[in-house]
Amino acid sequence: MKDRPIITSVEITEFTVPLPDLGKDLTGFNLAYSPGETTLTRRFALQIHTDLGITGEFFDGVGESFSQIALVAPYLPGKDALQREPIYNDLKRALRKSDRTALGPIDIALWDIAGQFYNAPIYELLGGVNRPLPCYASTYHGDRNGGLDSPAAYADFAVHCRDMGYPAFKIHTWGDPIIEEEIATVAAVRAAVSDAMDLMSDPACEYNTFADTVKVGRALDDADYFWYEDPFKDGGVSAHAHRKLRELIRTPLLQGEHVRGLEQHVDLILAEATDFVRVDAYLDGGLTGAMKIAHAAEGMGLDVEIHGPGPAHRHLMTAIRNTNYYELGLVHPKATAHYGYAYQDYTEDLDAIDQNGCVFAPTGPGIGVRLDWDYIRSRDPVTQVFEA
Amino acid sequence: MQSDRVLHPKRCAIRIETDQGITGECVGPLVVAARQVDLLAAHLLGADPLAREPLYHAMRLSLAQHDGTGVGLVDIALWDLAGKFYDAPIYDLLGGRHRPLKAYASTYPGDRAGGGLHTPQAFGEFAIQCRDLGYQGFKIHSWVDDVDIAEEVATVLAVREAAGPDMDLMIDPAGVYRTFADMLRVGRALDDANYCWYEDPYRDLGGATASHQKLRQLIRTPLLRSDFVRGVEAQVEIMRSGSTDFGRADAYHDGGITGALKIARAAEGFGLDVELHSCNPAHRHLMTALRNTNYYEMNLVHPTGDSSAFNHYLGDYRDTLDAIDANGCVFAPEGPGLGVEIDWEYIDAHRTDGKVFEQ
Repeated sequence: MKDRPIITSVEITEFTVPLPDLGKDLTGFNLAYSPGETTLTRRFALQIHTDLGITGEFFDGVGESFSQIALVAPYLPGKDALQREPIYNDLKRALRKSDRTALGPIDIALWDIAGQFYNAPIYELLGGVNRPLPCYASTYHGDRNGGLDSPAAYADFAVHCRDMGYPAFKIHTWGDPIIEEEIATVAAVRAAVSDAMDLMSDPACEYNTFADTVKVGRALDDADYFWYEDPFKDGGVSAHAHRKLRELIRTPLLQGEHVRGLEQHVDLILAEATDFVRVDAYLDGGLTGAMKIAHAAEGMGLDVEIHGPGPAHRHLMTAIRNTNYYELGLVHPKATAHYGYAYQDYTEDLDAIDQNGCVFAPTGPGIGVRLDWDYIRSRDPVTQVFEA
Repeated sequence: MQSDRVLHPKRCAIRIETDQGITGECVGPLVVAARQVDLLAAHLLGADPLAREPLYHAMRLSLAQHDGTGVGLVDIALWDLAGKFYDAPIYDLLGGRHRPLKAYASTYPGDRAGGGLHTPQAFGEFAIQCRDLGYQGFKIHSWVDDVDIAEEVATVLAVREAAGPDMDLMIDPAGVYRTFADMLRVGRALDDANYCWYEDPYRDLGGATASHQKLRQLIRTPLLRSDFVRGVEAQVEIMRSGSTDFGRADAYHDGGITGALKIARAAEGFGLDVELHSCNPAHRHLMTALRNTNYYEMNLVHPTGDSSAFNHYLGDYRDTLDAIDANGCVFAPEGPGLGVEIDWEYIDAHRTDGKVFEQ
């Protein structure tokens, strides 16, 4: 058999990506439409180099994850890059006092190495078959700047997405929510698309009270929404509150975006705090961790819904039976999407779908897409290298 | 064991051939699984053999009214094929690190023949023999036909007495005990003798969750259920009920390496260990790739050295009493796929039935 890939070094590159026509909303934490403004955002790329000349890449993630990667990177040189499971377990323990999000980028880069080593796309190593992945258009947050600034604006955008082929549409509403406006938006979007789309609502924990959460929940019931996600300011972590909510409304809940790790997700399910299981390979231990969650959900007869786009998530979804939609976004009627800028020939923009509203996993080896290093080098990069 | 008789247990073997000349194969313990392949062949002919996940689901659906064990046989052969396609042992594809797998000696059921496992003392002596061979764990399968609870208790105590305090001991009455009171009585003895687990004691055969929740409250020896329910969903229900302390999985019974891996991952999510049932190359690969597991079951073994496992591989691979190293461990084969070569000559010479499905 072939020589095994041994990790020689780990390289973290931080760079700047400009996001045209986007600014911060009222609270300063959500990206929202702001014509003429450009927001500079720091993005990250991870490379894991091996002695065979194979380099595993990861792009995306947040600074918090990457600061953890810097903490554990010295562990990796000398390790066998195919031994993902012990690496997952070692790093999980090493980072036990933090959120362990460093696991995601590292594990995905290791899967990229494995795929290149076996000359196979990751979904194939996971036993999956390339297939269309139905998408929902997942909107930017609401603004007050002439973009998604009213119930009617959301409704118009939903119709636009439906006409493009999207089978589903998810609302992220305002950072300064007015409950009457939230309810009006829920109803307006349903009225605009009739029964032609599955609709979801993700207030991203903006609602201040449980009572507001129930009130919008009733509107979702009336409008037959597909799921209701992380509605209020418990921060998406109270099992008790969401079990209560579950008893009060009939729209399925999707909780877990703010709960990290396999065991925690299982506990959330056991507490009956969610009807769908949220998983994010970038945040929940990479493809290794996300597959564990998908398998546990399968054992409980539940679906997993993958949070956010990206090539790793396309591979993951391709290999899973018990899942419904690919989250394409964030998208907007006027601002361009902020994903995909660092890959060659790959986007997660509004028009990335085919006429049936689907995307596909890349079919090349590993993650199947390569980073555009000419672009990254032109974007004010700062690099850290960890060697043996 | 009756020394004047020779049994001829049936095994089944499967070979999946592809247009590229790569073949996936495995030998299984359940002939009923081979019969089910009749219903599965239609999914396989013309299919991409690397598409294990959709095949797993399609095959399970085809066998929805049956126990689905045919899926295991096919899936393991597909993993063997994938490993050969990628030129990699299966544990590598699963992200595992080659490592020693601690084995326990899992005995034949008790007998009345004399010279076998016919008394508590005989079990005790066999435990010593196994300990001296290097085994760190020993599991009693006691008497099946004529179980005597006082003798069961005596055996539990005699084996602990003989093996000393350091050997991990387990008992698997294999669903023989007739009453809850009997199960509890033996459970108390296991508590006293500090056993590692108590496995499927009761005649419910895996169905009675409530009684095992009760048992769990009444004894402190960990419970291991269940060899008798099939598939990830059913195993999860048992874990979720709190009526088992270990997860149980068998690639042959539970949908192959694909299905057993799902159970292992679900168990991990519950914070539980998963113990693999029985010995074979597939389980060595699977166990190599798992963190949350303790022992490789070397079964069924006997003081005479007999083993119930299929041991007709070319080369060094075998699952026998003496297959362990000095530390009581075995290893996964390191070749592509399952990494073993089946002795087809032996199988062809002992063939009782067979079928070929072609496009």
